[in-house]
Amino acid sequence: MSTATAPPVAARPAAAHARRGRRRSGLARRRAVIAWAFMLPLIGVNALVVLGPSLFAVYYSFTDWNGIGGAQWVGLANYAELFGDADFRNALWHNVLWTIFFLVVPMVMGLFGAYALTRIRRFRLVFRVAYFLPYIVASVVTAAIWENLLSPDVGVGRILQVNFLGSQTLALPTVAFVNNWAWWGFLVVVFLAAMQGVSPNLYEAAALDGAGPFRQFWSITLPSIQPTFMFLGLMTIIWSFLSFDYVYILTQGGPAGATDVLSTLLYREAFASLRAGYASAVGIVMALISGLVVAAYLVIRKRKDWAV
Amino acid sequence: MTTSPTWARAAGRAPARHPVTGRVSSLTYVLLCALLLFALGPLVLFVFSALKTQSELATSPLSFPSTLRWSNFATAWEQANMGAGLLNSVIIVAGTVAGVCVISGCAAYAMARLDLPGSGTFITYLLVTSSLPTQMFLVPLFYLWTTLHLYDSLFGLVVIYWGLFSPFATLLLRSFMMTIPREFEEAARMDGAGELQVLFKVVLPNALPGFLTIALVTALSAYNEFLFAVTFIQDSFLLPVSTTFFTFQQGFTQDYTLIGAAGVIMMLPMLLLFLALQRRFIEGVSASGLGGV
Amino acid sequence: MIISRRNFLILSGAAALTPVLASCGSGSGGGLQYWGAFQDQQQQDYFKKERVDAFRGSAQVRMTVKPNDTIDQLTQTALAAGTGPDLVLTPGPAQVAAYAGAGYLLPLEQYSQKYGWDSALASWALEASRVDGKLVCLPAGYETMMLIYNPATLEQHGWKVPTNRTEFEAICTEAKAKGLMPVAAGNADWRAASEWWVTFALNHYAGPDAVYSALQGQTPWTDPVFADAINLLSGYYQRGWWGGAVDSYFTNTFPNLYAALASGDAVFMITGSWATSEILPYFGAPAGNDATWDWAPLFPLRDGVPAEVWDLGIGQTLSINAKSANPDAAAEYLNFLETDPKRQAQGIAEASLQPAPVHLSEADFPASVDERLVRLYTKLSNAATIGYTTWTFWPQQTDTDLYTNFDKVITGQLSTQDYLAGLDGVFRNELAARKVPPAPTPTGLAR
Repeated sequence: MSTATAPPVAARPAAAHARRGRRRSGLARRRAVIAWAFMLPLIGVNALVVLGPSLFAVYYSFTDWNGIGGAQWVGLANYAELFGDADFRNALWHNVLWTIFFLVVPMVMGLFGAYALTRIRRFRLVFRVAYFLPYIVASVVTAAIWENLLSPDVGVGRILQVNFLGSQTLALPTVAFVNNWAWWGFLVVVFLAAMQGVSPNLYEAAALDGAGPFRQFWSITLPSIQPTFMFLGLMTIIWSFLSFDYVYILTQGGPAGATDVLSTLLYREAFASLRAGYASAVGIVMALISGLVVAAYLVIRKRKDWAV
Repeated sequence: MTTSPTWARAAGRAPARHPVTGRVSSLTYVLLCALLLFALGPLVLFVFSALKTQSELATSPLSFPSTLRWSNFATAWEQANMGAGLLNSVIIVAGTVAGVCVISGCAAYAMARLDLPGSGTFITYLLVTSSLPTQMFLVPLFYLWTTLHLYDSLFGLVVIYWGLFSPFATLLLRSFMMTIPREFEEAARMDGAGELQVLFKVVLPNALPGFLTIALVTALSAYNEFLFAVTFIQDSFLLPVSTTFFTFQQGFTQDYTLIGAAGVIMMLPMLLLFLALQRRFIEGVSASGLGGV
Repeated sequence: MIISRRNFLILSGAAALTPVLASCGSGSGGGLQYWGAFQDQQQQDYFKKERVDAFRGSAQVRMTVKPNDTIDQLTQTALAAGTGPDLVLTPGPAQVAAYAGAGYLLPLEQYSQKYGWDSALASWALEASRVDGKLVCLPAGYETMMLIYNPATLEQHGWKVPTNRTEFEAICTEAKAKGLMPVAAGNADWRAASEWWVTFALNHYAGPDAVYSALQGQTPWTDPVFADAINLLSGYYQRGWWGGAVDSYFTNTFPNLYAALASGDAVFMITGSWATSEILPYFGAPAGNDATWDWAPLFPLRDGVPAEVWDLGIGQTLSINAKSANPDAAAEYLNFLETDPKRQAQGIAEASLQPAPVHLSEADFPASVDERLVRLYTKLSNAATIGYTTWTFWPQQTDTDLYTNFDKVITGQLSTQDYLAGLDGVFRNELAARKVPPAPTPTGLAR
């Protein structure tokens, strides 16, 4: 491995760090080359699978491509149409609702579950494993589980006389609920790990001051795990705008568009209406939204000096 | 490694000294048990449904099966072509995990240990690319894959999974490597260890729980993925189990008990893997950047 | 299954090799590549045996089975990437037009002359198989809309098969009052199913002449006769006749609907002829009951519409890939698949395969055949007036909007006027772009 050729550099990283800025020598340049050499596999595979096809998609978003055959340049026509498209606004709104749901429900469940687990002595492992189990079930299987359970012909739907996936108002929360079932346990595990890194001395001091569990949670736990919390918030927003599997498997965006999200709209435009150019424009807008979220996060991170 | 790293000891020790009052505990246990029911209830009912007859499922969907119809599993195994699917999935998962570990391992090492210039920008890039909607580049990717003769081969699918899953694995592993104190390496070098020795004897063993984490997360993603699998694998002999299950469920099988049985069969390998490795997996998560810096 | 650590390692070793082997082995070998999709295992097995292995032409056929839901998308992406099977299966003329426009399909004129396809296949179907006057596909499976019912249910309540709207509505009103589902309908398994019932309303209320005129661009879709048709159908949904209630309509799965028909909980089903095979597991011995089913032609919804209108659709077409290395053998195989009436009749009898539009008479069928199917296909072969299924004769984007937005009409989010105005706008664009598949005249069925 190439590290073997650079012992003097790597041997004193702290010293090199201290002198940086004053002496950017050939040594530093060589370090950089070695470092980037290690990045090559990742860069290569990323360019092949993600970056390259994405650039194609950017190009297609300015064309009338039907997914078959040639494409004609139409400039910004797809984007112009997008903003007048009621289906697009509908789907975008559902993504916003979806994001809010996932920023609140699983976060609260995850924080509560994790905090409660830090405060019990017994069975912590059992709970943690059990909560995490749904996360490892494939989305196709999860969908099958809940389709059975919620069905208005058999299962809970019949007992409650509610048609969860057929109702205009309930369908979207129901699909989100099913997705959340598979998701919140992951948050418990991650939050629990973060909370276990909080120094017990802080809690002891707070307890001596007479702070109850809720006070301790607000004034010690939450601030201590803030970086984790913010990072997961970021990922939640990004994943919420990409959300596809559960909607596609359970409702395909129906009934009557009640669960349509950007990704299902994109899929339908590309493969049912044969409008790959327009669908690409939808995809680009989705990517821009994610880009904005990431940028905002990075600004906050820099200001607060987090290392995540 | 005989001594466990400091982070592991810290994580293991902290809860024991946590102040606990009895009153809080009983209420806490009730709520925790409610959550437990929420997590496991549907799974248990699903397993029950796999063991019932069709008519029993229709009449009493929530009860314990009156007689256990194990034959459902054999029927589902055969009808949904689970055997071939599972084998293909094992191949895909192993290839994906091995590749992602190497790719992300190299990249994370460069970012965490080799002071990669511009690594902040690159992290941003990774975050942005992992937030792209994958349906968007399905068609261009397909075109590319056919040109490269990667279409309709398990290897081609594995390469796609490398591309899809390595950014997140890299970020996770990088955060993890950041938490390994550089003093370990310093000490090894003081003792006269060469760079290769440092890498293999100090950095990698310390990073092993991190690798285990990304291996499990990646294995899970690759095993459960179906959109790319169904698009990029044409030969029915090469289809992974997620696709065979999806096809079976969406097909003309009206028998929910068989869907249940096939679903249980599909869940089982990941379940066993997780139960076998869960301690180390969660330990890895807790040491990574996600679990508190 | 228990995987020990040791076995696991051995498997991973094999895994490293397998992809390499797989990527070498999957090139296009000799023979013809055919991608098929089937409704059930029985159809698949039958097709493999009688239509693939039985072909003794100049090349061997290699079939790959695709999921029903994804085969169209797979074919599309493969063709776009310059590959795909030798024989291109599509779900109908609209897709064919897109493929042909991109130059993916081989023109078939010379083969048509060689094998005499003009006389073997129905002219209406061949008419719909042309793009810019050139034959680019063969209709491989055709279908019609029909009324399916359980005779015992009608008898039990003293009802007769309806022959007009008045009779139909009377039965629906009575059935609803008795707590039955008048029409077994739902789109949970197939969101596009809504277009089946829009097809019914348009052809049997507005009538084939009006629809034909609109497809030619001579009448706008906003014409009052179409608005009345949509309002009538939407009213049926509001009264809970279609699928029991609007909510249930969105979650009713086909298996449940067939079962409801068998048990007598549902009275009618308005569906396509593909149902004649899907329905079998729910009736009689396979289902463990003594229920039976029968079918009747769909009735007119308005005076002035012919008593029997057959809404025809082409559910499958077959073309030859322009990139095929062996087009002559592919054409030979097409001829084998499509033109022999006896082979089509046997497919109907033994596997409920949808036949190609060849002329069928009773003599073509084997003795084992279901009488209901003989009646269906001999009647169809002699149909006097045809209607137009939306999935065959509407251009792609208009069709997608037609079924996705109809769901919004029945939930009250979209008025009929706005619905039709939207459709008309999209249709005008596609008409101008020459994306509307050619349609035969309603009575021009001279063979």
